[in-house]
Amino acid sequence: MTITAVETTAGGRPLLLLRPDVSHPARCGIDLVAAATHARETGGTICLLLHGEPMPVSVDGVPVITPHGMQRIWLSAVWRTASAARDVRAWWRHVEASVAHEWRRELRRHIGDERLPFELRQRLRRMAEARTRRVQTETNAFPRRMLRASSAVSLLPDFVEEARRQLTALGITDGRPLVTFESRTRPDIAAAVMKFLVSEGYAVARIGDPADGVRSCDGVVDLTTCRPRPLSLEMFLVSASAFIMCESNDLQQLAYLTNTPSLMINARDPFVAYPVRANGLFALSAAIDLESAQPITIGAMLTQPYFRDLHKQQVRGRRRGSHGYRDNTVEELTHAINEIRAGIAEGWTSESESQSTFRQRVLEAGAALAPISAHVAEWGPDDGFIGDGRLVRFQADRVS
Amino acid sequence: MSRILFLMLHPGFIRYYEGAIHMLAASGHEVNLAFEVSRDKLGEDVTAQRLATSSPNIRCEPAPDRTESVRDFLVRSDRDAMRAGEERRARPDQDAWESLATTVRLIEDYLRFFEPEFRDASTLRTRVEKRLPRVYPQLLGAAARPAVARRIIRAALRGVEAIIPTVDGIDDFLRERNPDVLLVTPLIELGSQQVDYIKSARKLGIRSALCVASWDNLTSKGLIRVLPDHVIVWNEAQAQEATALHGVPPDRITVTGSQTFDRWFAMRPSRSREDFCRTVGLDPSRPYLLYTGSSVFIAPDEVPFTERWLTALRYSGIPRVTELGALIRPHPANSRQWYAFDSAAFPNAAIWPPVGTDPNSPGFKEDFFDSVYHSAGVVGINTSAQIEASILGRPIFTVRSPEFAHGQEGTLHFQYLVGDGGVVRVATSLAEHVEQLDSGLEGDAGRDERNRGFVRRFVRPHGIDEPATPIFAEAVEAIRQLGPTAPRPDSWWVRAARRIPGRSLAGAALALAEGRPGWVYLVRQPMSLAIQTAALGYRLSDEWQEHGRPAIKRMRRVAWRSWYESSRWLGHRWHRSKKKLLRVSRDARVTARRLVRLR
Repeated sequence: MTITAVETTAGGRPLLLLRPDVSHPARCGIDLVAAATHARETGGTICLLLHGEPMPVSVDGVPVITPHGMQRIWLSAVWRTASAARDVRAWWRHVEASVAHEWRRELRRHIGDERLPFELRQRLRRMAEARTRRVQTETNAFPRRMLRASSAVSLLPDFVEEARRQLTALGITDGRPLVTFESRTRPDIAAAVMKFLVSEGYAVARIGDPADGVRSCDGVVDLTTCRPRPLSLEMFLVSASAFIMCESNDLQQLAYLTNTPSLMINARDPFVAYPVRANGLFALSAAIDLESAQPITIGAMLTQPYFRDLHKQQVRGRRRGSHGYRDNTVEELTHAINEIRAGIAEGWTSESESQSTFRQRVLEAGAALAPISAHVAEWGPDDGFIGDGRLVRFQADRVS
Repeated sequence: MSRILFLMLHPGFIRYYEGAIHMLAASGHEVNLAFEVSRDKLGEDVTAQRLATSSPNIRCEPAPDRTESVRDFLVRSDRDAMRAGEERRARPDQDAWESLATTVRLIEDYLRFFEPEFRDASTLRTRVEKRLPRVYPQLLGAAARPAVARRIIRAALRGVEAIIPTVDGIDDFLRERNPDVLLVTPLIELGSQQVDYIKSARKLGIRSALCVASWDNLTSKGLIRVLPDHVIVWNEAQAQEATALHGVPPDRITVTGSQTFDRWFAMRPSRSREDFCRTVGLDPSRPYLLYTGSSVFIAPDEVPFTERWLTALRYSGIPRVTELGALIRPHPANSRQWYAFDSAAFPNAAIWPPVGTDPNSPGFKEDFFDSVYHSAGVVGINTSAQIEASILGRPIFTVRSPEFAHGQEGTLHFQYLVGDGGVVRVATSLAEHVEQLDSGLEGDAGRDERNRGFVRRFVRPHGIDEPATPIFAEAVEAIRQLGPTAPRPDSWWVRAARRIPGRSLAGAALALAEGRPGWVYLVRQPMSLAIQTAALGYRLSDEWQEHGRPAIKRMRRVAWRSWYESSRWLGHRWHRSKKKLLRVSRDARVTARRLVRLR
């Protein structure tokens, strides 16, 4: 999840070549925001190398250009070469890490052989450890710091008009403040939450899986079947929302592009879910230890055994983990919605002590786990920064 | 009295044959049950103990130990494992042969899932792929796509299987037990080592039979790699599977029906509906649906679907469906996930039996029967409980859902439930499912006839009133009466091939079972040599420190002492000689002086 931009110069000025993946709004958003931050720091220009679909955005304070003709061919070639070199470097690092891993395994075969002299085994052990230390797999760390400052990325006027027209056709009008709601949660809870939002005067745009079994009510516009949605529509929907409620990272990350307040619900991983911006909140699922049938504490969700289990499920495709999850209840989500509304109204100034304590705990856990967990190294603190967002207050109070 | 040796993978298979074993024992046969692995996950070992004490003619014992079990094989090929001291144990030939056998059998199982009938079964293929050391899927992934290539590879594998020797321990075990018939189940586990029992039985002239335990055995697992003399199946559908998918000649197949379900025809509810509902926590005044959980392969994460299902019922807007109670019965081997289910969130819904209930506990089977018997209908993803529900004539439903596609369309046995002549009504969405429930819970003569037809065809092919257990026992008796087969010792070419190429293959299979990259095998020997050389250096150094240096030190001390002693002695001697000389010279001087004076 790093920026895929390539740095070059044109006429002595830094030029950031960027080929955003328009088919993946979240990744595209992260790339754009990170590139904008970088371009602002270096005083450079962003050069968009687009494939087909135009990029409907402008970034305040950073010139964005789209090359044509020979210029485009040349810059595309530069981008391809640099990308290929980056891929080769990444491949080489992978090979190096793999060789180190296998080398270490081979050495371990002998380290345990008690027939060998003790000193030799000690020496082999030191060699194995040194080899592992030397080759640290470079992870594509999530660039939290680069996403920290809100870049004023806005849709181009033509696209705004087009997106507004499309949304109006789908039933979303300007009358009431909008909440984009991505439901993967239990259908009864999702229905109750949407009802609550409507009763509070919001219009709700529901996106996500059409087969999630959620029944819409008045005031809810179902966009689940309107897929695939063009990037401009997705961006406009998020930017036009007072806030978004989501379960997926993708939507949370898209909100960084439009600087929309976000509430992530049913999060299972405190590092992945931790919002970068101050206008982000998240609520953790209730994790149940399936061995003992007991709920585990939020503190335990910051430990190595928890992440090892999560990793086994997600990366190694183990069909069952040691943890089950219960979705946030309607009451919890109502609290969270009230908190995000208060945050929007007050300008995100009222962080409780328990929330800042929890952030500190996440930072400490991240620092401790990053060397031993690639997952935490990727999603954890970025140079001591985890995010300005916060855990919802009722959960943070429970932790402390 | 005849001897029947029944080899099972683990005691969990007893439940498929318990009635038949009792019947065989009661008719005077000595039934010896041997288990390859013990298992107490669901209290299976307790079942074995209980069975052994139920009749003097029944004996339970472990099968001979394997030096390299499939489990060991899989543990060794774990790519992330870091084990110390692998060099320490010298691996005998037997390990290598067993590694080769497991590899060959896993590859055969892997290849079968490239056949056209398994085109939707990518998860089944992945399941085998995960067990194979990584070098084989890399090689075979593309090579095995053309049917001709698969045939060639399979022929080569059969050749390799033929040269794998029988296991001495198993030969001895069979000789000692000397059974009239060897029954084996399930035999078709991925990479199964039970094949070795069939091979040993062929070699020793013991008649063997495969007992197909369950309805999915011939389609969702491995192949019958070495044909036993007989195959006992439930129904004609399985007979066709055995012929078409496993190459079993039809004359070796016996159809007996499913003895597992016999008790479902005989059982009666243990309590009234009201009592049952009160016990499980449902409203007795309302009908309820039974949701039957599926196995971990079919539905690893079933809770979110069930929550959606319950919400769809509750918010259906159809009073008859909305008011239905819901009883959830977790699959006994996949029940832990239900700890995360919050039944309090859904009124008139309950989990029964409670998660973690011992399946061997008294009343467990009766509870299951009562759950189905008193229900208005049964819902499930893909589970044998749907067959049980068909026996009791309940309407049965399922919903196609993308997360379970691998366990529904991705398996062949699902078609028996939903295809032509199937008993399960399929919906493609929860909305359609709700409509089906609305229309399908009423009594329906067509449905009853369909259920009966399915049961007659699938469960009791000899007649719906003909229990399968006696037919199974008669089939075993008939096989026994055929007498022993002619011993089939290995031919000369098999023995010749076993010597050099066979051993090399076995050694390679043992090494490759670790699933390491090729270069590791290249550097392994030089690396071992370098380490042994270094070890020699260390040993020499140790020897030097321990013996050489002290010896030199001693020698130096001796030399010094000798020099010291000798120099002292010399000095002493010199001193004494000097004194003597002085005395002599003094005496000489005195004598000289005297002589001078005398002159």
